Amino acid sequence: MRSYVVSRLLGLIPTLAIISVIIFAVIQLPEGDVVSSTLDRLAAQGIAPTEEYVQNLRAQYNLDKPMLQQYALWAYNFLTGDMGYSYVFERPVNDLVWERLGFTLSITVSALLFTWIVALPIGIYSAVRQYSIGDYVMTTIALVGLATPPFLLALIFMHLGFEWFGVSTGGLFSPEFEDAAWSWARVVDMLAHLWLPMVIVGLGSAAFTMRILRANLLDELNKPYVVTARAKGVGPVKLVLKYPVRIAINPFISNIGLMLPALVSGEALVSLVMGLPTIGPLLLQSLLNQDMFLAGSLLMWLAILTVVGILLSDLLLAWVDPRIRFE
Amino acid sequence: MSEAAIDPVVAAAAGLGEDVVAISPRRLMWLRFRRHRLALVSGAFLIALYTLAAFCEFISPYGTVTRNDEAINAPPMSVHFFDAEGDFHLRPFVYAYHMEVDPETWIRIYTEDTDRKFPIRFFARGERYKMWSLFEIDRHLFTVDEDAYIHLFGTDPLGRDMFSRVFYGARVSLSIGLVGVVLTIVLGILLGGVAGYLGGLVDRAVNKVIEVLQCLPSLPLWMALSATLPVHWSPLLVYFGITIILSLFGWTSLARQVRGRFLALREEDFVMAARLMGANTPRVIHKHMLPSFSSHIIATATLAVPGMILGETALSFLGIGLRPPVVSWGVLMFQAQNPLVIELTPWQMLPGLFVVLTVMAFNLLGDGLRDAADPYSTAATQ
Amino acid sequence: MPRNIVTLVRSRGTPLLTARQASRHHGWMKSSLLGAWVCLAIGATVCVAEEDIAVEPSAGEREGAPFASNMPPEWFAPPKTASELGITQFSQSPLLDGRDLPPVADRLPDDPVVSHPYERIGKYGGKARITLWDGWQFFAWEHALTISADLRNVLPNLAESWSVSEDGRVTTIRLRPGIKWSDGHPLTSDDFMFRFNHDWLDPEMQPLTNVAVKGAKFVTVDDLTFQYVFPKPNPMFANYFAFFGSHFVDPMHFLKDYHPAYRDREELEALVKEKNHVTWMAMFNQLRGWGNEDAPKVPTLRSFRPVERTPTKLRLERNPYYFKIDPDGNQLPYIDAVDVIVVLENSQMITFQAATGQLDFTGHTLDTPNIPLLKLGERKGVNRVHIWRRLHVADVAIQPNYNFDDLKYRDLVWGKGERRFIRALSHAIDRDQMNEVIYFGQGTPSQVTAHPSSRWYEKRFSQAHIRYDPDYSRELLDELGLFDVDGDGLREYADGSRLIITLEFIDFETPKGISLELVRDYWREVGIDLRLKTIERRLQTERAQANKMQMTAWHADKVTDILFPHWPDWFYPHRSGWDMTMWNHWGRYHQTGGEIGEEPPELIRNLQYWGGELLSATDEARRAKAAKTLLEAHAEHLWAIGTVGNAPHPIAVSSRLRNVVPNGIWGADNRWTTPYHPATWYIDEAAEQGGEN
Repeated sequence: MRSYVVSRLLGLIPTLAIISVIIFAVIQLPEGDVVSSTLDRLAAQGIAPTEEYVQNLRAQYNLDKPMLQQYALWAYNFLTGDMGYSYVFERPVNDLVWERLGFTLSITVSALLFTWIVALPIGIYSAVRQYSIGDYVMTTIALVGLATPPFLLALIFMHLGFEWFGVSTGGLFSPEFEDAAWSWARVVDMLAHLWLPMVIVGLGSAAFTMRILRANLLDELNKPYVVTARAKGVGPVKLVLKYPVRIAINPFISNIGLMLPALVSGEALVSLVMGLPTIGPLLLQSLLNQDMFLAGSLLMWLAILTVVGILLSDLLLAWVDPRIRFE
Repeated sequence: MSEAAIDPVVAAAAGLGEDVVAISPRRLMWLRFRRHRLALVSGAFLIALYTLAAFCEFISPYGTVTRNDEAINAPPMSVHFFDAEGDFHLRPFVYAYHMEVDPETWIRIYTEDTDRKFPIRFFARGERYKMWSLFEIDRHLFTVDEDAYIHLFGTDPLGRDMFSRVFYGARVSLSIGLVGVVLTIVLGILLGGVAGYLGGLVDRAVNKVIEVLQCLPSLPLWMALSATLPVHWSPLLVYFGITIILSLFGWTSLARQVRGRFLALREEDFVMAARLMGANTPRVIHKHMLPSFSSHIIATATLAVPGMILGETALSFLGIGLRPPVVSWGVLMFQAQNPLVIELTPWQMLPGLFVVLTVMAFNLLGDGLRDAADPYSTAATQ
Repeated sequence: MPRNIVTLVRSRGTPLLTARQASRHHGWMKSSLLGAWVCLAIGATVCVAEEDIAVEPSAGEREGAPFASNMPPEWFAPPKTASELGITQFSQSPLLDGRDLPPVADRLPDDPVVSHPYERIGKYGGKARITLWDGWQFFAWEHALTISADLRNVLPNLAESWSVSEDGRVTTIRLRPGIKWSDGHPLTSDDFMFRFNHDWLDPEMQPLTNVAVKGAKFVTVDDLTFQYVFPKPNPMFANYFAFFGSHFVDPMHFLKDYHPAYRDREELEALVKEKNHVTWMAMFNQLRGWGNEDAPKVPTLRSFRPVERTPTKLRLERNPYYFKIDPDGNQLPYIDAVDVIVVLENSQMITFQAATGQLDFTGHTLDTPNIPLLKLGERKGVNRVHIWRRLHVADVAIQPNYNFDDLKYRDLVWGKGERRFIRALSHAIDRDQMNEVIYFGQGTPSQVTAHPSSRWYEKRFSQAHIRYDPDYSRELLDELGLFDVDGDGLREYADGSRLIITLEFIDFETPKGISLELVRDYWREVGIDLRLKTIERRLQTERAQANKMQMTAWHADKVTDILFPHWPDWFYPHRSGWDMTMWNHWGRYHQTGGEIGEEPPELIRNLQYWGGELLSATDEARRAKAAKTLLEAHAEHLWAIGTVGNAPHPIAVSSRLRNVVPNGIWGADNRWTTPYHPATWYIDEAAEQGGEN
């Protein structure tokens, strides 16, 4: 197991390196750079900076260096935890990222848990009671859930939430808890607000997972050993849970990794619609304002989040299914 | 796997009295596919929708920018056969709007003005348009007389006909799905095929890129890329730009499949035979390997379309995808950003419904095709 | 075509006046009799009938919108002080009771300023919740001088009095004694000196000295008295000073540690490095901003002071040293704390929260087409929607770039001062339809000119070339030789090349997107191909500076008497900047005395001359001539193309927030809510429980 973990961890390095190159390339795309926009802003205030100031500024952002060196410096700064300064928000990128990463993480992780908690029992139920009314209802809901864009879901749920419960939609806390210290009551309050984005983000992947589990389980249930076991009089619960579910669940676990990118994407979109303090809205703002340093850092963080998540799910799978380790 | 031996389709085919051996793979696939009733229905729905989208100029009574200033945020009209007096009319008609602004709520309240009847005329002359930007025509599937108006899906805040906009939007949104998937297929087959066929270092490199791209959250990257499209680009360029961006990250799963198939097929006897007979690499790939799994490609491609459509919709909804005057479902959703739109002008959410239906249909169709293409899978969800 | 539209909507509890009544009141206002105001206030609050009033006014009647019709008369006169009103007892919010602070009477200035609430004396307490956009509605700047609620006069605020020398060269300000910063440090002339000498005139802070203060000197007379001395007459400097008041004062005792004039440069540079800033100027400016972590450290004069910056919001608390009281001697503000949400970037989400009563005051991000949506909350009893009027004479004013690099386009729009093309564009716009579609028929079609409250306003200026006449447009375009050569329904340049106009705009504050979509359609009708692009403000800054924008649009504010002489953006090129997209090069030339930029044509130079006269003339007749010349020139040449003005603007107020005036004027010129005394707003929790009131 340890050698597996080590090899996977080492495998992370080239992956992140490639990702950082891709992201660096993306943030170089727009015309203009930090300096030219800063100068423009100064000019807007009627300030014509000296040549020396311009040079200093360019040097400050390494814009006077060749592209490769710029990349190296960017990557180095990122690794050492200095992500620069955001011109749109006029704050260090570090602060902006840290205060939002937690929320991104909590929504994504809770959506993942939601996916599991919902998809597992419903998938089993649907497979065991194939073609029952419950199965039809569930598969239909899954179909629709899979087909509905998250932002549309968000709009609908927000409207319903306000209409039915009068809950303050948007934000992750009630006003009274927004800046209270962490306490049990605050956790409860956060959960009370978290469920909406959690359900919206998780619905699509829950539907996806449920369909896969159902299909896998159906495959399994038709296998001769199940028929044999049934013929031998094994009880219905044990019959399903003992072997078929355990086998069907493997691809299910390996799916977590595949689901993460989709969850992170969905989270960004839903947060944008619902005005949640996560990375998504920050990313959009930075992109619209061409604050590419900030955008680069945010993209990098989202990528790290996903890659590490995938790694964890792989390790989990390896732990559950020893065969993986020896492949 | 013993399943193939007792495959009910084969049995069914045998039951038809035909020679089992004589069934072509295509026909076999069709027979299997036919079992998926939902997939069939979805396929029919999609064909219908694409046809409507292709002929949207003719289907729609108006163009995308035609405004009716008597109908700002007006609700869908209902088609009548019986008038207010209860008399039956063979030709269906709609009533004119009567609008009043509620002084308390500032809501424009529309009621039917039963004094003004607009009979619906089929295949009649209406607004002039250029079919496919080629022929100038003025016939519409249905329209009303010159001084009348008809809004079956209601109107938007500028008084533009939602029905027309939804179908013009369908053309853009649906075609982005198709064009994007074609690009995806080309990229996927090219890279996946090359990797699978050549193996070795190339395979490792492509595989790594696929792995990396697959673990990147696509939406943020799409956002980043489409936000960098220059502002001065024309709508058409933006359209292609967005399509390319969407397929840049979409090719990976297809490539992975193709690669896997190539790896497996490479070892097959007929490929070996072809190579021994002196066929060069492109020919082996093109003539012998591709046909043997084209059905898989079709199935995977079908399942990739919804991702494209959803991607375009999300980007346009955020205001960084397509931009007016281009009309797509995403662009139409952009004006329905507020949850209260559901309460005030729910018909402006209609494009969203079309997105859901289309994506659902593609998913079902794709499932059906995949099952039909793969004799070993029973992962049918009916 | 005009339908029966209800002109004015009754807000709960406080009926508005009809347009007819309002214009009558407006007439009274002109006579500026205080007595009239008292009657008006009484008339408005007591004797107006309760029923809905529906009239169909002509454009002329709409003209005199109900500026400030039923506001307390005190809002229009210099504020009274405690001693003048005989107030001797002062009280403070219970929030401050246990704190280690001097007694309230010692914290207040020697003779506190009295602010009159709109409706009634409020209650202490509560925490308001708003977004950053509306942050400083609560966190209003306190200037030495301020602008009256009717947009016509300058009133003393931090200052007790001010005077202008006979020759107009010296403006003398005298501060009220005993005003303190939020840390208890007294406010003195030095605070004004610091800002003027070490920011306005500091070559590092401002490499290019602002024209407004070129050659000016700051003279400290005593601790509380100081003068701005100009080389040329500048008799209306007080107006500029009132509008930009916050840019003239800094807490010197705090900020001097960050300025090289008062601190060792090496030490400062080390600090800059440590704090991760580019220059000391950046660090200095950052400290002055208020949305960041440093804000709680910096002393302020405002009614609230920042106490904490959390990831999601900025928390404000009452400033215990605030210098104003209510007529009962209670120190203002009433509200104890404000949560400013900093993460709501999506304006639709803000609208949703405003409509569902989750925000206490929302104005900046709301727009006319949102009104029905916002009012859904009113039906549920969670908010109230006040309909204010935007002061913009044109909600969307289209600005061609007369300095654009493409000479063919430039010749077309500038036309060597011959304006057929621009007039054709103006006549092609159906402003009445725009008014119906976007503004519920409640706006006033108008060109860009002075605000109707201006003493130089003339109706003919606002109605110049405003008639909807597409045939005439086509005629003009034909005359210019712009014909549709290739038969696509769109005109080409006279030489046959394609004529496409790209308009880039920031879709914010007014319904620019929807308006411009209509304009695009109208222009297409006469054969002009307009392409629209929305961009973000920072991008506009960049593109405007680089002179890359062919055409832009913004709302026409800075049009009141107080402001437009100093900031005549619409009337002649006087500076450059992100919003000066019509004539940045000419503006630069003017600003630098010809060093950079491009020499403007004779016609423009003439206007620049008159603009200078408007600022420096000491006698009213000369000033009027200058102002009229500028306005007349705009009416003739239509530098910018106006659409609809005087638009209804929704203000969504939670059901618990009180004392918000139901019919204010919304705009930059009077600093949005500042003249309506946001410090007197209070939270009535009982009302929230009970819902309706």
